[in-house]
Amino acid sequence: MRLGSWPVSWSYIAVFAAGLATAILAAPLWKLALMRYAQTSFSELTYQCDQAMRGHMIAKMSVSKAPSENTVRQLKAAEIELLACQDYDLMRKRLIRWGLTDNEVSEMALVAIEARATNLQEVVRVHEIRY
Amino acid sequence: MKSATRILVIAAAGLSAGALHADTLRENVLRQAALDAGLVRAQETNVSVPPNLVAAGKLLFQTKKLSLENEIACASCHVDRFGSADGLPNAIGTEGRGEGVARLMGGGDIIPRNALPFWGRGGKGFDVFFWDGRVDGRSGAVKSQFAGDEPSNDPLVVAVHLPPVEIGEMVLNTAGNETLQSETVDSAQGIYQILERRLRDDPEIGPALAKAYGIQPNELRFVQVAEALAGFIRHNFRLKPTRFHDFVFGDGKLTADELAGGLVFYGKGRCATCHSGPYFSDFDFHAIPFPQAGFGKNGFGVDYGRYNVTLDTGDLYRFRTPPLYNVTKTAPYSHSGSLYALTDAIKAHVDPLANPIMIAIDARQRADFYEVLKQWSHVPISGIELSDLDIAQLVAFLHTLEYNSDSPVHESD
Repeated sequence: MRLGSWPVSWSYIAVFAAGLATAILAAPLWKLALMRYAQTSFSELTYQCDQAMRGHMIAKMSVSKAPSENTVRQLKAAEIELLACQDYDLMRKRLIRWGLTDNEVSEMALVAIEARATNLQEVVRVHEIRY
Repeated sequence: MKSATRILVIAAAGLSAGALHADTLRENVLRQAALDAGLVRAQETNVSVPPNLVAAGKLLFQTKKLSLENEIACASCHVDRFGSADGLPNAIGTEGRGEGVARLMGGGDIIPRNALPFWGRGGKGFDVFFWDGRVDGRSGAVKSQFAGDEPSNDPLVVAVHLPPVEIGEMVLNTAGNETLQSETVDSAQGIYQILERRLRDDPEIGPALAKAYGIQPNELRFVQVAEALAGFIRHNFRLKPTRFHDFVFGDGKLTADELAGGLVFYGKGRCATCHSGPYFSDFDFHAIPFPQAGFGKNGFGVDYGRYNVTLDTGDLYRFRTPPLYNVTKTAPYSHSGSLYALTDAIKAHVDPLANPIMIAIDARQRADFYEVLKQWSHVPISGIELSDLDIAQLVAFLHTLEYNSDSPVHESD
């Protein structure tokens, strides 16, 4: 059947318009729901990865400054702890796959930081330029 | 429809493959971490003991005749259902009756330390005994209270010499035993001679022990009694392959929680800093700020731990790292058994102030506690944050270190 032969019907237009409206509205609603749902887990992984990275850096510096069996053991433990960052990255990619943009995932990361921050200085520490 | 099903199957397979890849990475990391920390196959730690010596040792383990006043047997406080410990915070020695809570409620002499289980004792490389390491064979020569007069160069044999001469443990704390209060080598020798005669004349034990050595019963000496006892402990509680060994050395699988717990153990939790090697112990001494239960070895709720052996102030409040096999069966935990839940014991390692008991202690106890904290502050695990989930996963991991002994034990008389 050719498209041109379709009868013009207000009902088709209405269904189309409703579908369009749903699509436009559903996307942000879906994203909002997803962000709300995943925020707790994402915040925890953000924190764990942050801790792991800082711990790893300190452990590496300790080995460099005072190489010993003990400091090497600490470094190995810190390396295993970095698996938390693998989990963090995986979750980040999954959120993007499920429709969030990089910007929206970054927003979730900021929420995670803010949840742990107890004063302005902690927010400043995240955002200030350091050199 | 068929195509749709095929697509779904392929998608599911793809997702599973991703998850499997992540699991394989973690499994490999955990296996390597265990090997790096010194885990070996259980059999590699085993020391062979002649079967007739084991049999004679079991008789000795179960009899109260090893106690000067026939009060208590090894099996009275090393009970199968408590993972070869006694299920109590502080051990109850002489005048104690029954097991578990019944023993606690029945009175008896309190030993101010938590009874230790026997898993792995006397295996290869297991050379430090008791909470404070008062018998220490790490240097090759045995150091102990015998101070040069050690009855054996086997540290486990030296260790089993001690309970039968400890006042309140296997010797009654009575007015008639004042001369034994000194717990000198001479007073100990006096007790050994009495026990030696008694066991040599026992119609069951004497012949069994003599047969194990190929001698006449009247030739038996106490050191042979101790060797048989050590032989039984060494054999009956020897390490056996656990689920974790099967995972590291074979094709055994761990659950997701066990795997995650293992990674916390070797990673974030820094547990393997001290709980390393074939027995999950470095056999060194560390201060962990557990609450103190009971009167304490040094009185008034204080236990100086390793310091009591070395008199080195650097050793104050330090205790030997306990091995972890069957740790899930040996509650309560710590040198004074102050924590019943394994989760609380783990938490106390890293976050001692989280325990509600810390709010209830008085100023004097707090002062003692601050001294422990000073020592703890140098330990790598001090101040690590472990979530409740991390701790639950650690417990799941520790369950993979369970195994059973060969032979059940119980008091025989």
